[in-house]
Amino acid sequence: MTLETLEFLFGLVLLIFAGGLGFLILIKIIDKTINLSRLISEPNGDASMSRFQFLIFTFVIALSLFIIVLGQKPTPDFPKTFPPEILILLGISAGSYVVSKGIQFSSSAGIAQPALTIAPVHLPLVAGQVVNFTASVVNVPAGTPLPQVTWSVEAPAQGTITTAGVYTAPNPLPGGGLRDVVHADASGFEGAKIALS
Amino acid sequence: MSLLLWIAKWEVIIFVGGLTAITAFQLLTGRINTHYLLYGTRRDGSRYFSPERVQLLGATIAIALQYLLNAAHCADSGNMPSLPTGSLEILGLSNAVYLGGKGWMMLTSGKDN
Repeated sequence: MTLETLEFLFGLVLLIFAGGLGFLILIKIIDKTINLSRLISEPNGDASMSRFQFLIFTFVIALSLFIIVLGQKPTPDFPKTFPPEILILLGISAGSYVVSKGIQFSSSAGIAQPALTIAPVHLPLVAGQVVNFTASVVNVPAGTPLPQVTWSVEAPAQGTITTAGVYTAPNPLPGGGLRDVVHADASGFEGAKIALS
Repeated sequence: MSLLLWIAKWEVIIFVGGLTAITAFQLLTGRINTHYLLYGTRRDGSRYFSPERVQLLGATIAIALQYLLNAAHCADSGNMPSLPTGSLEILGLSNAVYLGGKGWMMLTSGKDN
């Protein structure tokens, strides 16, 4: 077996491995095993313009490099010159992202806190009605278990609620409607409350 | 060796092209979250429509498209194209306006007038 043959076989194995890895990544993105839904999202769930800009420029520079490399004759090769403006552009985009993160984390409004939510959200009440409320968690990693939830009502006149979240409206309903009646609280989470009327 | 080059070329085309297409598709169909992309957040947590984000998006797309077209035109030159004249200044100013607006609304009281 000659050296050339060995080089060819080694290169082929590397290419098969790299190609398989790339193909696997694409398949996992398509079937959502690799989840890109929060690719440009900030911790509070909003989309980030600085992340979006960084994404656009990364793809554009990569595609441009790819076009130039493939366009060379007789064989693909890296470009002879690489303008420093491209690096400055990426630096501006990355710097903007870093500063944006700094501004965001300087205020609690920019940080998503683990919180509880209550369902159902809206419910027209009738006297004596029984409602089974459920609590869920948001702004936490996927798979985080539901914490121990403490259910309560504003005042005894606004009904009763069990430790399992089963609410019973008062009979008759107090005048003026009910507001911010049901509360759900858990250690380490922002509590939730729901208004019923 | 030419066979290896051919395989490598098509592997990169499929991977880079596929990744670009999947990302663009997911952005356009909403699978990648773009909620409130053009909205900023005040200190009190309320949101507002942000002109500074709109201008940054416009500048970004314009510069990116221009550069991609330049790269396509000089594909066989062997050199990465330079940015159009003034692009860096425009991008820097655009980012400064965006960050300045974001910082002002996030770090000050940020109340509506």
